[in-house]
Amino acid sequence: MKRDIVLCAALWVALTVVGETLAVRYEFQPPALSDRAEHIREAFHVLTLLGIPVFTLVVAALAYSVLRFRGEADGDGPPLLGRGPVPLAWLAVTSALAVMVMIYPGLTGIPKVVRGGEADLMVQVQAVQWTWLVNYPDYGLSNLQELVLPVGRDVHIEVTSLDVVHSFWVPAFMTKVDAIPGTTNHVHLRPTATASYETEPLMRLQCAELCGLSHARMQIPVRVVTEEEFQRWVAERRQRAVVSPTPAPTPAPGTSTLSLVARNSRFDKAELEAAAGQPLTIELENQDAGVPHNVSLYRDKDFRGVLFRGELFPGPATKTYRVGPLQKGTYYFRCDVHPDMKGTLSIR
Amino acid sequence: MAETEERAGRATPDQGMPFRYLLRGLAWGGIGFGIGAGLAAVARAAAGSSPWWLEHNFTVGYVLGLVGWLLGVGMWERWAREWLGLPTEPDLRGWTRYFAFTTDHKVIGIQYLTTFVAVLLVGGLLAMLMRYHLTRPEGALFDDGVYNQVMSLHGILMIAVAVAIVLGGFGNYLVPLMIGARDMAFPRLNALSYWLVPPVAVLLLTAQAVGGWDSGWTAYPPLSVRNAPGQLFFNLTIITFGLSSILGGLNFLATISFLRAPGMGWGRLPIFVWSVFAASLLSLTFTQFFAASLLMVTLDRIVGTSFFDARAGGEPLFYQHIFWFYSHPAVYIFVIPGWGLMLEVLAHLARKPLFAYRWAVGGMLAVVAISGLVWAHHMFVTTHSIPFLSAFLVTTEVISIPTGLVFLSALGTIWMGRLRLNTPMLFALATVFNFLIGGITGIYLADVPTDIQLSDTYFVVAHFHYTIIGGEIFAVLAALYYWFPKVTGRMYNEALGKLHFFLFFVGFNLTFLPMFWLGLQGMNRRIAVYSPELAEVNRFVSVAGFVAGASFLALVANLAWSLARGTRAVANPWRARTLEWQVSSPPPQHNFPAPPLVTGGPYDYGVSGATAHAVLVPAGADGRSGHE
Repeated sequence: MKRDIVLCAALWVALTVVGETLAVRYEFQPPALSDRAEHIREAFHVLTLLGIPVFTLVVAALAYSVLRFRGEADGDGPPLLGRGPVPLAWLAVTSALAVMVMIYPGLTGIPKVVRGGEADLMVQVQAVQWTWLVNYPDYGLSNLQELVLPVGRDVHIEVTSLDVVHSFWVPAFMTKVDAIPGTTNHVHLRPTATASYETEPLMRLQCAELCGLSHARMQIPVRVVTEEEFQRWVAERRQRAVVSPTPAPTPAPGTSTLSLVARNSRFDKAELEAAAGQPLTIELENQDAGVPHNVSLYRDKDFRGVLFRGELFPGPATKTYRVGPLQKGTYYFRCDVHPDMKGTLSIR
Repeated sequence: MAETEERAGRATPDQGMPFRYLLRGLAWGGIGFGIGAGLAAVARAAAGSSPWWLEHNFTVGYVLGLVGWLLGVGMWERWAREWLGLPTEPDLRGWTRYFAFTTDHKVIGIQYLTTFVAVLLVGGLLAMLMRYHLTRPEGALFDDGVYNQVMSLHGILMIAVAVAIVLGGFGNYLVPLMIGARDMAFPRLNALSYWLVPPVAVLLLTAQAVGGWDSGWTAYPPLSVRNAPGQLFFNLTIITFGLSSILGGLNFLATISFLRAPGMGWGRLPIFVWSVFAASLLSLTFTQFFAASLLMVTLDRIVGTSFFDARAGGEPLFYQHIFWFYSHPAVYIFVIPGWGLMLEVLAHLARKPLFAYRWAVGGMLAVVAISGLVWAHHMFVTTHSIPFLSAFLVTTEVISIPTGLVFLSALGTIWMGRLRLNTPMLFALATVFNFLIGGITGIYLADVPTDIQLSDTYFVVAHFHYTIIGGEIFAVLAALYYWFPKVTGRMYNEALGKLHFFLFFVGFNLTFLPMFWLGLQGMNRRIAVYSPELAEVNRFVSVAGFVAGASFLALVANLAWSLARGTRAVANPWRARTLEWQVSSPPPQHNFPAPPLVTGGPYDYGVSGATAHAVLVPAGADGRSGHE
């Protein structure tokens, strides 16, 4: 018995050394790009270092027993009843471990990852089936479909939902909070490095809570830029925002005008027709209060090749899109937020 | 009275078509459905609406259809006539009893087992389809909507298996045998629990015809209030299945409390019986919250209440609290009986006393006590309130302490044992290993800082498959092989059994271990498409999943072959001490000629001077004929 305990303990130590070495050498987690992410990575690391000896203890005992104590022959094992000090010691050690992780990295970590505090940029994010609308109230920008933040600034993000429960998640920031209708959740964070979705796929604002049909595709790109780039981006966005709401001038002669009404997340028409070689205007009347719609044109019925992407806006409102002349053929239109709202455009 | 029933049963051997009660159940169910749907139409017309709206007509039709089905399938002869002062008919014999409302706990156990093994295979097949779909980042098989439907169906089928396969299957078959009783405390209630299950299957299948539902098995509103009518079918499923689960829990508690054979003190109960007792406490006290949460969703859908509609003063988060108030304890309804099966198999096949028996029992009961206080760790990303997060972090970490006692018991039991490494033992040992991974990764999810990143990712998917498949289904497979000789009277094929074990153990681990990594790399759960850079690992996971799935062909082949051709089993092929092995294989009707006399512990292997666990008493020797 004594020999078995010594050998099994040796196996445990050996496995633990291997495990801990791997845990120190190998990086399980992707890069962290916000101040909160640093704490989360640290907590993960601590739990791994603590978990490995527990894991290897059980594995060592299992493996040693299977290798050493097999027997098809008659006869019983020694009657170890487990009534002595062993269970008490086990209880003491496991309780101590549990209390330890409870305090660190648990309880002491919470205020670090859900901190409030001063912020010098405020962003509002609204979830809607199946996209994200980003508003920068300080700059008068609204309904954007990308999240752009300046590096090193404290950002306060307000998250809510216009329809069902979604979850705001930027994997690279290690930040997640549910977007719940009727409730506003708050996130404070500071991006620590510039990065963008094009080179880092984790730089995306992704819905993490099952929200229906296009849940998997409910994501928009996230970009962290320098302060100057951010200011430039804001200026450019504001310019566009000023231009677009102006009412469309009376269409030039020779322009086809098409109209669509969006109501209860349905278009009133599934088929549109226009003449070839003429510029088009598409007038979208969005009657759904608080729900954003748009009209985009695609070359193919799988909606891969985009020809024109209309700006998204919540109802009730009307917007006019202008599209350059199109050749003869069949095109496909849809609302990008609601892939079920779609139809064909025939150019004759 | 039972004796007269038995004699009457022998006097009229069953000669009818075995499926006649099933067919009559379907017919009466159809009639009930028609009446209900018609009544709803009349009520709607009277209120000035169009008479037909699927959700109204179906709901009322379903309730009456359910009553018709239950009466038709045999509740009428064997129970309901009594309510009208008419005599009831005796229990059925022969093949018919497996396809009708009958009260023998062994028949009901077999009904549950075959039903839920079948459901497990169907749910597994859906998992294979999902994994095939996920071999390509853009999806290889379904469009997004169908994927969501398949994923949701897989979820609820497997939850149903996890809830019912051990309690309904092994619990029903084994508990009365193990405690020396002739049946459950409420045999007719037991039959009712089972016969509530088939309508659930019908609901889940017909739901697919009306668009299914795309809200997973968690059905969070407002999504579940506004999606396709399949959601209503899901809600009715949960309410029906919940009722079945509650009645089952009540029955086990009464049976274990009051029908133990003379001498079977609480300290002599086999650990599996204790685990059923613990899990039954949970089913009885918590299941109604699951049913209530979906009843509220149903009311929001069909009668215009606004429990969860924020615009009308409702609160969507309120649902999640009620839902998880059941659904976290539910995971202990899954795994505690799994631990029971695991420890049972380990002790008998290691030929050692169950190590630290009282501590293991205490651990299970402590888990039950704490399980009602941990639900909100499923909601760590719903708010950033520090007191909320802290409180549930603490309770969740605390519950790991009693869980650890089960590991102590398992390891102490096999230490220095005479391990017989046959198929059930291999599955039981693998349960310890798998559940260990499930338990350790659970710490990351209990810890708020790490959970913020990991919640709703594949890390969670991997974690709960390790706990539920690893901690429960592996134990179920151990039990399936271990008790196969007892239930069928034939031995299983050891070579096929080991083939099943190795393929499944390797396939399972290679499927779910990489999922932890996928979660860390930002793959969120319940998605039909994913980032292209994760394609290779996903393909690997899918192939490993197919191996795990294919291993079940070995199980099916083994069961079918052994049932027909297996060598005859003796009464006690494992030389185990517990009571179910002291009677013939399969056991006689009513189990024991008279209540056995329990004289020692169930696990006293190698204990010098230990008496037998129990001695069988011949009929009439105690002056009584049964348990009345």
